[in-house]
Amino acid sequence: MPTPIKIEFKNACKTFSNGTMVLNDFCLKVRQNESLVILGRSGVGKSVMFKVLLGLVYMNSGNVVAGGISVDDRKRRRQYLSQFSMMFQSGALFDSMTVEQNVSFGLTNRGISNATEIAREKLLAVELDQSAFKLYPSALSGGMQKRVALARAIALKPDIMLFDEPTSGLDPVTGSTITKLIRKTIDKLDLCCITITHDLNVANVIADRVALLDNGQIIWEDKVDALNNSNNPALQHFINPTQRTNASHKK
Amino acid sequence: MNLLANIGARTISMLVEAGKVAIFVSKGVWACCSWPLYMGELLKQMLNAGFFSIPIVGLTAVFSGMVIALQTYVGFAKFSGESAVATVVIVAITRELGPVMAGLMVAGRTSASIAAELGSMKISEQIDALEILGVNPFRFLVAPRILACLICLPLLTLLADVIGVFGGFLVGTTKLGFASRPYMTQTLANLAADDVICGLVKSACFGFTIAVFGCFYGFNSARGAKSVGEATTMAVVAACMGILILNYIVTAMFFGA
Ligand SMILES: Nc1ncnc2c1ncn2[C@@H]1O[C@H](COP(=O)(O)OP(=O)(O)OP(=O)(O)O)[C@@H](O)[C@H]1O
Ligand SMILES: [Mg+2]
Repeated sequence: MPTPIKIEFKNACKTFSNGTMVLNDFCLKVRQNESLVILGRSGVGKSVMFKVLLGLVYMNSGNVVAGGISVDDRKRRRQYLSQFSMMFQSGALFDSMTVEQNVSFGLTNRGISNATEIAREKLLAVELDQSAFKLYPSALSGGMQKRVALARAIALKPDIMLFDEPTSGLDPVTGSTITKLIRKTIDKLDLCCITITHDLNVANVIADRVALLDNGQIIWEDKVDALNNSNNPALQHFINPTQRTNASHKK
Repeated sequence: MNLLANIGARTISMLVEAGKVAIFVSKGVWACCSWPLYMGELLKQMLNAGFFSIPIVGLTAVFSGMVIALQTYVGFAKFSGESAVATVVIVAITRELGPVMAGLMVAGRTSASIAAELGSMKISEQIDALEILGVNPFRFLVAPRILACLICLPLLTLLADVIGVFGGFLVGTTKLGFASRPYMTQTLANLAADDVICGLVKSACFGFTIAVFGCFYGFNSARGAKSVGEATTMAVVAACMGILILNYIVTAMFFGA
């Protein structure tokens, strides 16, 4: 029996004031305890889609509903946002706080008492060295910042998790640890999760379902097993651009 | 025709900007009056805006006091009014120079730093991240800054008053040949509670202006380092203009007829 729908984009349209069209009649449904991976070329609007979902960027038209609440319901904004945790592509760590405070801040703010303990535990889970706990984000490498951001996202126990390129800029070993950690978190908390990535290995581990975003719409979506044997040309091109170019050359 | 259209467009965009500032101010004030108050942030901001401004405010005040004493002496000598130096110094400092100098110095220092800090937080998505963690950015970022400036500027002004008068005293007794005891007696005799209170009211208004413009331009910074630079400039310019305009308004309210 399919679980209820947690997130629904209803014909969302977003064009920036400088004329960049990002979402065009964008429709998407994600069920509870389903993990969706979104693939797409760079600059196609994946990060903007997350921001639209969180109400950080206003849509021109259409609607987004998550957990039965609409994004533009300003009165229930707190409740709406409390369903989410998100890992930003850039990390978005607070540079006035130490690594540990960055992770515990959200917890303290939601009235959780042993915030520091949880923060330490999560930081160890993302394989961050203990010596880095008291450092400020500016003293960390890009990959370390990424891991702190991930720890911050999984420290909260929300209904919906959003990851924007969790493994970009990490070495393969850490990347695979992080991927497994995300999968474990999803399984443990039974939550609804959307991950943006360019990495098909990540998609294979994390995803239940995969969708490809292009031209402001989802142009392909299916179970993760279908990823490698689909004959959708756009998907094939995304997965294996060189092969595709060769084929078209032969033509 | 083109000129008219231009003027119209400018007027509209100015009105829009004013509306945005008004909305921002009302949100900021509401955040200051509502729970939770982030005490740690408030103390940090008070340290930044208040404590670390002491040297620069003190220095400006002492030299202002000195120059006022000197100018008054030279100017008033023309109609044998040299003896009024102590009176002029205390009145000028407590009414105008103390609050305005302190306000302008803190505007340059603090508005700029607030705008730059919040602007870079905005473009690195930290403000978005706050919101998602369930923290109201107005309460966490704007309210502590407004309150800090509101509290610190009157204190800095008191300090500037004392140091400025001391600067006048220094020049008066060492360079202009006044005896120190009569100079002090004259100063105290002309120290009016009204003047000091007016200066403090002014400086509280200045503090509010400084924090509000710093936060406003920081929050509305567009993407990119250049925009943060522009936001910083705008914040300082707007805060200084605001201070000078408010200075007149408050003065008119206290002393105008
Ligand atoms: N605030 C903004 N103002 C104007 N244009 C924007 C803004 N934010 C994003 N864009 C544009 O929207 C498009 C999509 O950006 P987005 O960041 O969503 O890409 P992305 O799919 O996440 O790419 P990547 O994989 O490189 O992260 C880009 O063309 C970008 O220039
Ligand atoms: Mg992106």
